[in-house]
Amino acid sequence: MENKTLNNQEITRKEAIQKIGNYSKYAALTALGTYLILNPLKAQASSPEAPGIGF
Amino acid sequence: MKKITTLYKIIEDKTFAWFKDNNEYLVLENTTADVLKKLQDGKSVQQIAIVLSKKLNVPLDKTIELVLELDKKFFKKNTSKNSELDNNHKDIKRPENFEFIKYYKVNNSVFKVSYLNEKELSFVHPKFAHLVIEGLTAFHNEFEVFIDQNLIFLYVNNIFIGSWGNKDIHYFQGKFSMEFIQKIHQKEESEWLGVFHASAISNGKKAMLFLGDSGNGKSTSLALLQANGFTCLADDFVPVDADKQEIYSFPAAISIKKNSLKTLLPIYPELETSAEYNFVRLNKIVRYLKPNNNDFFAHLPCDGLVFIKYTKDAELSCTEISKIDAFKQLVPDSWLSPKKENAQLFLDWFSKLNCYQLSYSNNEKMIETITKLFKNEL
Repeated sequence: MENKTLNNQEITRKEAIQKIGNYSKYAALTALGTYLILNPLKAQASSPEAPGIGF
Repeated sequence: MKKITTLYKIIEDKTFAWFKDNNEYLVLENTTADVLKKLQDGKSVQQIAIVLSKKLNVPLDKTIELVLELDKKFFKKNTSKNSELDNNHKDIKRPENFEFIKYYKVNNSVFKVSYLNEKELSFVHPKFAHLVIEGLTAFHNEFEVFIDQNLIFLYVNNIFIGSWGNKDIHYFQGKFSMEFIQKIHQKEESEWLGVFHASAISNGKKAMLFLGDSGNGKSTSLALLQANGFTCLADDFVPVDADKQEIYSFPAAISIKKNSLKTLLPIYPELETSAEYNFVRLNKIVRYLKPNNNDFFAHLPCDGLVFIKYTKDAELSCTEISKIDAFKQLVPDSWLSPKKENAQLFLDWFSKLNCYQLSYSNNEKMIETITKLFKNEL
């Protein structure tokens, strides 16, 4: 039963390339929606380990 | 048209963008930046998505989805400003008597700094103790530091600058340093491009910034390099001006951690005794090393950024890294001016910098490599 399931999932080389092709198309789209957001510090700061933490 | 102020600059193969509203930087694909620009110009989502669909050869519904998502993310933000705690403490009663009064001389300016108690003193004084002059009463600028009701207050020349809670001491210290540098160079905050959490060294003609997480040897390297012909321009707080985008010297001492003492004591025997502050209540052992720079007017162009990483037993390696990698590490740890003109100058300045990653364990080799970097011999 298990084998049968596996066999069913096999695809031909041609089909695989087609699938990858489609996937890579969307990968380009995904890349466009991927970005880095960087926020500078809100104010000037010294190292947190500078003398005295809290009071 | 969307009334949002932005800047775009292509660096390497990406677009670096800046949004004025929240002083935010983005690194995106150039095509994504084009979509944002078109949205800003008032082009419809449909129009943009059609062009994108053809360009990428993907179904229109997919590109519509993307454009809508970008529009929502960057142009339909909830603009309600978070109600910043407006510290309304301007009427607080300022103390009349301060336990400690110190006079610091920087170039030809004398700063009178009054600290209410030892605790206030401990937050600032150790870094500037080497600038103290005794027996003076004439001064050019007056700073007052006192704690009242769990807040630390800073007044400069009788003007309220701010107050900070006990978890924000590093912001108080940063502001103190910012006020200090403004007074030293007679430049307002808006005339600075940014302040970098780095060490700055120079060979007298140009400077480089050393960056890296705490514990990676920034300050130790700086101490070693200043004993090998280089000048320490600044440690921990490195200001860069907007006008010429040069690194300015800052007169604070170099903080030396306990585990660096073994390396540094043979070169700096004064560390044995000099700067271990007895702030008993804080139970803190910190030693400070005087910078070898005497000209606190000095400012020099920046030749590059060096991200340093100390790894035990590591072979030395120094490689150029991408601007994107450098930007990722630089921005979250820096204060960058929120002014549009300065943000543009910052992007232009950054795009021209050489960025390196230096991993090391052997100090001699590190010094040799930095010397070569300064001579462009790597």
